[in-house]
Amino acid sequence: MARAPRRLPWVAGPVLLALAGVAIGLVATRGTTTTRHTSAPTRPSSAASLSQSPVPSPLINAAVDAVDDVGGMALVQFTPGSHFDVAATAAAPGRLAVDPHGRIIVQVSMTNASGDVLSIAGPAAVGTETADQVSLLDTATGLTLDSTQGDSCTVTYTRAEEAGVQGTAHCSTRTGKGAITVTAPFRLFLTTG
Amino acid sequence: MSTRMLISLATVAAAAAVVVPAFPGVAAPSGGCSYPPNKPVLTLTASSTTVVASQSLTVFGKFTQNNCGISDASLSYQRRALVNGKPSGTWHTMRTLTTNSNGSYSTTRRPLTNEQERTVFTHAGSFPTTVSNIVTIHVAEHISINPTAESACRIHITGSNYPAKADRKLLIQNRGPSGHFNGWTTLWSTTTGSGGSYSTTHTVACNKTYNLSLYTSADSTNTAGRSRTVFGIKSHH
Repeated sequence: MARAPRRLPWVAGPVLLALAGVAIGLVATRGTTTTRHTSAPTRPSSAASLSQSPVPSPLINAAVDAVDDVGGMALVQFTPGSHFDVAATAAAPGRLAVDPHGRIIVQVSMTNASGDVLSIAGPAAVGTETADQVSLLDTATGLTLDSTQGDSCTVTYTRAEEAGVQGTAHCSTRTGKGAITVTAPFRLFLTTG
Repeated sequence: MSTRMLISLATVAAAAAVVVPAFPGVAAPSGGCSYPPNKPVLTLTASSTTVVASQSLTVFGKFTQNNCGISDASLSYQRRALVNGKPSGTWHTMRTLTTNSNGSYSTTRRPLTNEQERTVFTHAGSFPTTVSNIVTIHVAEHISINPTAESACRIHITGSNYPAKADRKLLIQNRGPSGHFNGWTTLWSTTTGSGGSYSTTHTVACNKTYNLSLYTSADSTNTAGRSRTVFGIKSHH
């Protein structure tokens, strides 16, 4: 089992961050920049907005998080029932984000040629996450699962670091034909960097 | 025309009426379980609620009544723009989808800006008009990055944003090596020109290794974007 990245003592992190900031600040101030472009500013059109309930925020905060493209693969197994493989490729990658505290967030959608889908999104830490969003489409049976719409899902991570993530998604649901459980071991790996 | 011929023609006409629907290509929805008399349920799930512009998104769902799939139901797949985080304008139908034999449906597309999506079934057969849940899709601006280390300790970067937007401020930021991220430090900035392209050169400290990414803040129609990180750019004399 992979271990979480070793953390510095709580006082050392801010001190090193401050030193790094000063050092790079000095680099930035002594640097010179040349930028060229032919600018023809355009503004996005802004239609009248309607007053509605607030929309949810993006899962990944691009302002502070480091974001990498990830590929992935999973085996989706149904009990009772069959199984299928899905994958995320460099052509349609998922995203793995890490915040300055080392916390990992994944957002990946894996598919196959039949159109089956397994998506996982949320914080990833070694252990079991109950708040991650898991959704599934099995085109052969028409089974759909969505943890944001009442289906019960958890994700157990055995590895969660910037270099890669590994775990198993577990879901259960009730259909017209009875209860079905889904187990989907998966692995995510960097495609860039 | 003889009576026998008239009967034959009537028989053929009746058979044709059974075989050919009144509106070719539009079958009446069927299935579901009508007892107990619960309303049908239409669900919509997006494979990802945050995508980078140009990436594909799969949406899928199911039309059921009492957990029984409703097949051959015609659904309007609709979007409504989000401007400054708020719904703007009316719902527009992007395409029409049909549920399959088990009541499920799916489609893929590449959204360019923040939006809400839903599917709508309009009353047909014995089923009432049904609207799915609304899904919010955040679309981050895509930024490409192509850096090169030049002589005199300069780093040259070119690229563009998508959707193409001019006059967008891009921050060129540095980070620690992979596996040792402690936050971003902004080194310099540039702006995009017409067509969303940029080209910038900056003098940095010599003989150092940089791990660079570009960041742009959210605007009215896209969420904040960040390019991939290019690791190991070594400045040299």
